[in-house]
Amino acid sequence: MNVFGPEQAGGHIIELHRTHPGHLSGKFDAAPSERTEDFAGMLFESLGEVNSRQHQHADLSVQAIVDPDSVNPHDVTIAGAKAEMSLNITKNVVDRVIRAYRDITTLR
Amino acid sequence: MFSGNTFGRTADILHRSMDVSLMRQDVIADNIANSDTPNFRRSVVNFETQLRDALESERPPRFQERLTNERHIPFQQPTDYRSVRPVRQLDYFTQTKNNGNNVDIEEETMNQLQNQLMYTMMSNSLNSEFRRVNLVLRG
Amino acid sequence: MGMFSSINTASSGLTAQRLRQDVIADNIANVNTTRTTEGGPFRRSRVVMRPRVDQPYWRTPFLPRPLDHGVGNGVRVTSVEKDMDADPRLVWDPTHPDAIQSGPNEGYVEMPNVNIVSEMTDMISASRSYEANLSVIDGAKNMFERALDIGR
Repeated sequence: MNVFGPEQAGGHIIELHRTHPGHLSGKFDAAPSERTEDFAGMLFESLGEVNSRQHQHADLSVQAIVDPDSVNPHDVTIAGAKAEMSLNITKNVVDRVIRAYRDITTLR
Repeated sequence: MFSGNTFGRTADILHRSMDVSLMRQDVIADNIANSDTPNFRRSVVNFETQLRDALESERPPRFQERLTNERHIPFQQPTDYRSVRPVRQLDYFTQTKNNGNNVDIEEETMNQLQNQLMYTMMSNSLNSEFRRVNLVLRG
Repeated sequence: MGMFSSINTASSGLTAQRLRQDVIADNIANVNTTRTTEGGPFRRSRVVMRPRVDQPYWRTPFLPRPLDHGVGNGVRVTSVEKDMDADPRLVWDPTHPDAIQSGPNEGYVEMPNVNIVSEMTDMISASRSYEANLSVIDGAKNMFERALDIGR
């Protein structure tokens, strides 16, 4: 069985034989998704992120009540601070966009 | 909005360090509670040195190597700091008391105090990171 | 990890040290007891403490991962045993009601094998451990309060 030969070793990069779907790929954290180039796509994507962060905070709070030994105290507070901050940012962006639109239309 | 920028990276490093600090608190509490148990060995948690090595590996090396062939091996590969895990290590070979126990209460209490102060400082830093952004977003 | 695991660990230490203190107090109070219900003089008691999570320690400090039982959870007292090893002290007092009547030790009284000085030293050590566990609980409470300040 040929595990690897000299043609598979490229310097420090050695390819692993991944023949089974259960073989791990060696990546542990997912890379951030590629952002779309236009503003509307970015806005909708961050709206989805705001929603998921609030759900995460709610889930962590419930888990802290039901199973206190599985959750750290700073996990709950950090999730809450992130949820609040992302909501704050999104609210401000939407407010500025609406205000800019109104300025442009009333200027006419 | 929290990944790929300095804010997200700092918040993530602080969060992980706070997790490790809690784990260290558990290990120190266990050491202190078992300070009179015969044949008990104290444990320590190692994390910060490995994190420092991973963060320093992201900077380019002091002098660049010449990689002309594809089979040349570079001097170092940048290690992602997210792969660093805390390691709980048993301290087996230090001086023991007569009953086989090697826990020194004063040292453990001092470590616990240090750990608590570090946790307080990290919590404070994280809080000011969030507050700084919220400050700009008033109104 | 978790919110209160270090507080649980420290409270187990408090309980164990309190029990040890009680046993020492019992030993000191019975330093002159020559007659007990099970016969013979009083024997000093000792507590046997074990960690709640028993790691298998061999000659090496490397614990392989499948045998590592995780972060410990404190201490527990498995039993309170009488120290039957040491022979009781013999004190010459033929007029004592518990004096030995016949045999090679005639006229001697068997006194308990309690050494006051070592019991006092144990008591000081138990009290110091108790205070260290209290400071752990205090520190854990402080850390919890600081964690709640994030985002306020």
